[in-house]
Amino acid sequence: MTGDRGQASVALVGIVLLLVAAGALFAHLMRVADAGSTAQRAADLAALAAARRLAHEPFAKPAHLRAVAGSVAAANGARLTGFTVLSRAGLPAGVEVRVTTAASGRVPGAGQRSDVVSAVSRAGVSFSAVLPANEFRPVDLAGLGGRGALVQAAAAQVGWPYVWGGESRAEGGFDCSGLIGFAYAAAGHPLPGRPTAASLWQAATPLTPAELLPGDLVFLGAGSGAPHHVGMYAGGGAVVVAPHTGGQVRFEPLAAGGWDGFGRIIDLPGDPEPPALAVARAAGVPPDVVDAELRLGLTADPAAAARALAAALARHPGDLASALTDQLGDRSAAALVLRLASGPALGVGGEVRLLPRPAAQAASGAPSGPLLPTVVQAPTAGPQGPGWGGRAGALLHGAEAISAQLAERSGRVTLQALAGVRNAARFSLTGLSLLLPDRWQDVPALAGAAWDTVSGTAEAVTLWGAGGAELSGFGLLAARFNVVGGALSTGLFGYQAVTARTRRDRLGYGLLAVGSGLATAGTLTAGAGLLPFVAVGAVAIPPVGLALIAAGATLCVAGYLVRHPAWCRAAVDAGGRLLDAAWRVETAPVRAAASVAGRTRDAASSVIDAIPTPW
Amino acid sequence: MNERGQASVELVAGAALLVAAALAVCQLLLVGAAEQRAGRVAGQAAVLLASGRPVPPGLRREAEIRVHGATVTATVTAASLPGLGPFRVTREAHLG
Repeated sequence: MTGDRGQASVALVGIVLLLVAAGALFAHLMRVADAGSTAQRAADLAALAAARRLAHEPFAKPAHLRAVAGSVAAANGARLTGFTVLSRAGLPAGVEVRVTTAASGRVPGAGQRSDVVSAVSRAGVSFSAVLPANEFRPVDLAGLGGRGALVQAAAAQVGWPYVWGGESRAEGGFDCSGLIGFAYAAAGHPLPGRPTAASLWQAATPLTPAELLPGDLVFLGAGSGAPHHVGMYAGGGAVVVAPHTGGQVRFEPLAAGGWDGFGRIIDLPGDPEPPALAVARAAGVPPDVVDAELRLGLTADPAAAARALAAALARHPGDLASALTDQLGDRSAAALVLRLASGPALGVGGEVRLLPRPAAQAASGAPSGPLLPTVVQAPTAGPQGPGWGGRAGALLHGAEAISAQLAERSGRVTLQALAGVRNAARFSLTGLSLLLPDRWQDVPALAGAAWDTVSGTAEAVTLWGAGGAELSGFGLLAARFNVVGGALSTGLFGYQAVTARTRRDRLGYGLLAVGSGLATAGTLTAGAGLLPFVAVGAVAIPPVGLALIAAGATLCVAGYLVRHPAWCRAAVDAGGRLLDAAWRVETAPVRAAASVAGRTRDAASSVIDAIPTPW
Repeated sequence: MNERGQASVELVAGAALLVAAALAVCQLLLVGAAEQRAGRVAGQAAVLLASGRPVPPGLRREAEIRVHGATVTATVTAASLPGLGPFRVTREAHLG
């Protein structure tokens, strides 16, 4: 009974080792899973952040958007590895980002692993822009910063009524000096106080009519030193002015107004005319909108575009945004046109959203998909990790190691490696044996024990006097499994031997327990190198250990045979039939051998029959 | 018989040790699961907020969600074994 005590300790150590190994493997799998989640989350947030920036700056440089995505990815624990601005019909429509995260850790039997997990996410942008309905439209000043902006700001009010004291659309209209003050303010050059015709004259530098440039002022009553009326020279011999009560802001010929004073408030440079100015003015639409459509590639014919926009404006009077949407058939494109036509003065927003993975890319397996993280080749493998990674991480590493072992040894796999494979299969079958009929449960275990007997004996004989069987790679992993599984088996068989109700089972399980214990002890002679986290030099099972493994496996075979006398009887009967056949061969040596074998068979039958099956 | 009894005592002690180890592992798993959930909730909340959408009440029930500027934090209280204090796990996500 001394063995019971040792078996319990060995079983305990085995279970603890099993728990440690399983825990380490589980921890690494959790690290990989967590890295996948982190990567996908970082990719999503980076894509959304870049898309938000794109929504507010539709024509931002890709480098700026990439910087935004990179900083957000880094803040969420990932590294940006790819960035693309998505476009639709030539217009910016979203972004695609690719990020990676690393899951590093030590896996029992596999050494240090560093799995790189990548994720891809795409975010789309739907631009929107709302032009003020009853205020000055930024689009009317697009691209203008000099005299043209002054004229355009005043000209955009054509048609609004004259309102004494009025200086904005919110007040219902303009008076003459209110129109001038509004135009200067809208163009970015606000005048101090509430200007009047007289104060404007005082602030102006007098000019001759020949010196007039667009944006300069014309006065009526300047001879008195305090003019009572003012207008703005628009160029081309025209003046834009808010004339009088009951009238509307309009263009007038310069020569028809009786203007007697001319002056310049601010000396501003001129502005280049938009390419589509002529056709846009002919159609009565903002020229910079047509010009923006040309620059964005939405049209190649400015005249046709101007006519189409004019027709859309007729269907949506006073609502340029809706008219553009009607013309282009795309609200997002219309917002982009307005943004480009208006410049920074028009705030542009947009709705951002994550995009699904395109069906074509999903079918082709292209790395463009926001939902599923993928494990890719690690750029820096651990010192002992395999060079080629597994997409499923450490669980598949066992299969990788088997393949590597087979390839490395050209099929001459060591018995230890095969024993490891067999052990893994045996323990898997043990779990499955619950589903099998009782009489088949011990078949794989018996086969494994027989293999251990043969392999252990062969290696002990071959390596006797040498250093022993060296373990590395999968052989080492198999030996570790042997220790854990053997310890577990020893404990279970011992428990079954103690609680067995028949002498045959008690004897059979006892043999199995002792055999498993011996085999485990034989493997343990390899020393501390079997421990998963201990770094030592070469690990080897000495010949004595191999002999112990062979002896233990032999006892296990005996245990299984004792538990299944029917198998033995069937084998003896088969042997008897072979002997009968041999006896018929009329040669003396064969008959002599058959006679010896027959007596051995009879003795074996007697031994088998001597073991009572029932208690 | 004494040795056999000693073996039984070893088995009982070993079993107790295993139970304690199993409980510790269970607690670690509970904390790990809570951390996973906190990270998932923080990420989902951040994605929703970055998309301009509100965080639904169902997500708020899963964790205590707070937004500080561009940082979203989710705190989950992990289930704990009797006798052990509550474990609060916080994960955060950054909107940028």
